[in-house]
Amino acid sequence: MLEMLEHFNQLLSFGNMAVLLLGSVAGIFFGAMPGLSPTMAVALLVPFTFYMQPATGLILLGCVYTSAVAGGAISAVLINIPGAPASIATMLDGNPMAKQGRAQEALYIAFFASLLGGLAGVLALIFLTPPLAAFAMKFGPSELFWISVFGISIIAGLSSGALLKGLFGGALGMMISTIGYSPMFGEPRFVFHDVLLSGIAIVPALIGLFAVPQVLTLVEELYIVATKADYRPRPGLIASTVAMFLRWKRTVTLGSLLGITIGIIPGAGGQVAGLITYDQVKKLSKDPCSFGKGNPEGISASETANSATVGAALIPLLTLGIPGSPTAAVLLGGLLIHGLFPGPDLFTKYADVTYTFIGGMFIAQFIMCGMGILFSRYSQAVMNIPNLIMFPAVTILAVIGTYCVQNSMDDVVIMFVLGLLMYLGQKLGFPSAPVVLGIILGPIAEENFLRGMMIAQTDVGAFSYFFTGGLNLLLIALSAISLLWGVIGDLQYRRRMKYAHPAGAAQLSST
Amino acid sequence: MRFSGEWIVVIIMFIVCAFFYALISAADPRSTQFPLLMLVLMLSIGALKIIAQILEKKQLTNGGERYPFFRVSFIIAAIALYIVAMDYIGFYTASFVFFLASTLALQNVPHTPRVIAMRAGLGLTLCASLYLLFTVLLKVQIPKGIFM
Repeated sequence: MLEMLEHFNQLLSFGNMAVLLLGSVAGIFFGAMPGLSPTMAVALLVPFTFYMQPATGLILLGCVYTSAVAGGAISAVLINIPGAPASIATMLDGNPMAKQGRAQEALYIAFFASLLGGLAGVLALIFLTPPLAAFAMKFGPSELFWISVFGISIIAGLSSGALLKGLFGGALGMMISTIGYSPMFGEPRFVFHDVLLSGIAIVPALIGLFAVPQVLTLVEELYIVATKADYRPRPGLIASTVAMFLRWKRTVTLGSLLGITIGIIPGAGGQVAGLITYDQVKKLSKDPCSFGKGNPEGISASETANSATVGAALIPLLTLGIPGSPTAAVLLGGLLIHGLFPGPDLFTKYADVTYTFIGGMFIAQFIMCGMGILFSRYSQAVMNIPNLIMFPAVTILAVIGTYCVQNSMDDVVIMFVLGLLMYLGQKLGFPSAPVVLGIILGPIAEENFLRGMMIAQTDVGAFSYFFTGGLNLLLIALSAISLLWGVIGDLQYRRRMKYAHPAGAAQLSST
Repeated sequence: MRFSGEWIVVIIMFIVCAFFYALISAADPRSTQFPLLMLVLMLSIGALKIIAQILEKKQLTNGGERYPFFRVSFIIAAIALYIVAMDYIGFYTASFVFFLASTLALQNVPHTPRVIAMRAGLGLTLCASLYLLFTVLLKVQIPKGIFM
């Protein structure tokens, strides 16, 4: 905490404040558009950060992440489509409220809840990250290798109904990351075209794998028009919203605690936190029947929890390099392009960057809430932007975003080709997050695997080096548990789908 | 056992593995230790997928909605053309033409002069914003070509 206060002056620079403001607007915009996910928003903005100071760039990404998750409530409330996956539970009471002519109230509650949850998440980030980073200093090459495996197993395990495809995607991502020269021996691998000589850079991969499939999906859904709710502004709502939150102490506390806990567990994500908290608050309520029919407490439960996961998801990311969510995986890419590697160094050597970033995340919560409340008046206009206009705009941003990092047309070609392949992969049920994470964690895994092998050959042998020792066994056990969790989740998903669509249980063969 | 989309997935998994295997065998063995480990992992997952497919009882294909093949193919071709053209005619010109052409080609309302003017205006605004951001503010080098 003291270290953070030391860097507070840097945080209050004009550049950082401008980035916080612009990032909040951009994040809310991306969150409110149902076709554009927070992950894609952060992926598209990673290249812009290349021209900024590392701390400013990270603040932009963190701010967009926070605001996009909160902004997802806008479309969930107004058109009954979650703008971000984390807003699924918000839809349950938000849209009924909008249909009752209370859209503004629902949005104000959503943004206030996001502020409280977001602050709780950032406080957890401030207090839990340094001790965990100190613990990470005990890690050697074998532990770092298993950490990468653990990261992949978690993201793959959460690919609903597609565990094996997720795992295959993770391994394929790691394989793709090895294209180019070997980091240890300097020999070229998989270079079947000159374009691949310098390997696959993170930015083209991030943008290609997330943005191109989403652009083509926008084209597929070009003429779909959602039914919009009527938004009628009412004065004096802020005071009554604050008064409501004073009555909902239990809901906010529960949402924050569950959000932090679930956010720290890598891969669990905002949607899980939102749904679990919503369910718990409903069970504890004196009037559970009112939930799902426009109970504002339902919105506060969901939004507090999903926003609390944002700060919490950064805890394993900054300390161990394990992203807590696909969006955090993209943020990891943002760290890496500035030459910052997760772990203890972030809190010693690069403490100025890290603490300025964390401080920025704290302030971002207030700006997000303020901008969200302002923005909710104009949200109807934003959601009226048709896919026909969105897809070329996103394509142009993706192309220039990829190009400007290395001024290379080769990167643009790689981005487009990877994106097309991912689009085809998605049609076959392959999720993109494990592939991206594989590409990001691949170099870390390979380097530590080779270093470990070298140590093992001169010391105890590969098996003893990689498969013995408390930390190694703990990480292997955690990877196995996450896979088992994935298998159980897969079976439950199949059962749910079978009951929901008995005739089409077919698609469940996407193991 | 009926042949379903999931069997195509299995085949693709093994094609990907074969592709990387062919490239691994051509590379220096010292530098392919880690890729080889990944290849073994991918093959193992492929094998598990076969077992899962055999154990799967019902495998029906999903009719679903009609896929807009021509619309998506048109846009893929347009993006490819845009990327190629950017190097020759410049980023801003290519972006404006891409924006205008793709929105006009795919819209389902008549091409009246008013609609065309609105689209052109939007395209110009987008390009002007990008120019301000990239060229003026960030001073990023962009593909110039014969125009800009």
